[in-house]
Amino acid sequence: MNWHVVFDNLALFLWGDGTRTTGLLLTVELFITSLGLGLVMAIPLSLLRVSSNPLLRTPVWLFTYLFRGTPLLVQIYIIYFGLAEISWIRSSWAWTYLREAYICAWLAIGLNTAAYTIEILAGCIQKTFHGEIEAARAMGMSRWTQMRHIILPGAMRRAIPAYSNEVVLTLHCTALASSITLLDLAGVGRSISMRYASPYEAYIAALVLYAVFTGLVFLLFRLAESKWLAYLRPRSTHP
Amino acid sequence: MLYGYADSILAGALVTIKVGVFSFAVALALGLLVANAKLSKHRWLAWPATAFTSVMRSAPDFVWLLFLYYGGQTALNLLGQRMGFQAIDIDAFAASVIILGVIYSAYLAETFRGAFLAVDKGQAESAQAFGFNRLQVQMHIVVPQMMRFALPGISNNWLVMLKATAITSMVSLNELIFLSRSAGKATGHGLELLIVAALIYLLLSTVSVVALRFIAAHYAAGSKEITL
Repeated sequence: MNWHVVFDNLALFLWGDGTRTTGLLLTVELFITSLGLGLVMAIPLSLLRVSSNPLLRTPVWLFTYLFRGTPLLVQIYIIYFGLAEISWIRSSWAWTYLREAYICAWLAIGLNTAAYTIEILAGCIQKTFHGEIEAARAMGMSRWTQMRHIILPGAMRRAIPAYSNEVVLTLHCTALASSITLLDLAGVGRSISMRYASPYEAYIAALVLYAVFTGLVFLLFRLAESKWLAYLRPRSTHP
Repeated sequence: MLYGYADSILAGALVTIKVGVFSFAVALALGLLVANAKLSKHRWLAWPATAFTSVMRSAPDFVWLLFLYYGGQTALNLLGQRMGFQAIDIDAFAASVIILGVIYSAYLAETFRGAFLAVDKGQAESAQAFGFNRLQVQMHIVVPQMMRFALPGISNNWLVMLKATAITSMVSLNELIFLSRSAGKATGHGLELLIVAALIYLLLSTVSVVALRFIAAHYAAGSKEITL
């Protein structure tokens, strides 16, 4: 194996070539902005998802059903290739953004992770122990106060283990951005392996960088769990 | 219908179903083996199995697919040159089935491992006391009970893998996405054709969810769900 293939292009693998962001840095960027979009959407929409009013509940259910029932690759293609075929979109203000591959990948991955996060959070909200809500009501809390101080903080803590899986999945999903010309970590791996006509070094480098990144995310979540879920740990028998 | 591409898209959907079912069969069989290896007392079995599941799950399935597909093809070509036979072009379908199966066996092994650990130890011990041999204990006592714990994970993995078959379009397998995308390029109606492909996936996922609910009910026989 000829590792010069990787070391000669190390900058491309890690951050870019001076004119554009590529490789690991682009993957990190896409990962963080998509997670952000997902989380910002998921917190209010998960509340609507568990609403007793079907007019509020059903549209959110439909959104998660559509995004969880189809592959991310199709979602990326529909947003990147499909929307470009609609003439009124091409002539609208949105076109300045939607013709950018990065925006399309961000939108698809963000909406996708939002759908999964809504279901995780909604599940945890529904599993709130009813005694907590009764106690909150007995304290005279309004519904909004209950939501802010009792239901959401508890549900978000209990969602951490399932959410950590979703976060790792989202990181791995970002690799599909390379299908629409983006040079993220997977994209750099593909382009370098093609340029040197050698599939090993470039892909192994990409795999190792993904593994390190995944390990780091995993570690952060273990730390978060030990901090915010400490109250759920079994009580130690030897205090 | 569908600008003359209805047959092509239907054929793609069939390939997608085939890749999904076959690679899931590979993943189930291999996952069961790896889970048993992980739980083995022998360190030379447990350690490589654990390394395999950790390494596989640490990077995207898409990058693994590209690496194993093109790496495998290159390795075969080099081997051909060395040994003096004609280079073999690997079949995209067979290769996709095997590679997806191997990748997802790592995820299933984790599911099976947890499910095996959830079965009460006394069950296997009492079966042994009744004179069952080790294979009988596994087949008749442990595996049927393990399945109930494993099913939620298996269902989840199936739904994830069914959608992951889409990435095989990137190694030019003629499946649903690949064919609807090329039909879209040829006709200029990419949006409609991609939406049709998405709806077919939606149908497959929905049918799977319903079917899996029936299977879960079968394995839940004799157990009761606790409601507070």
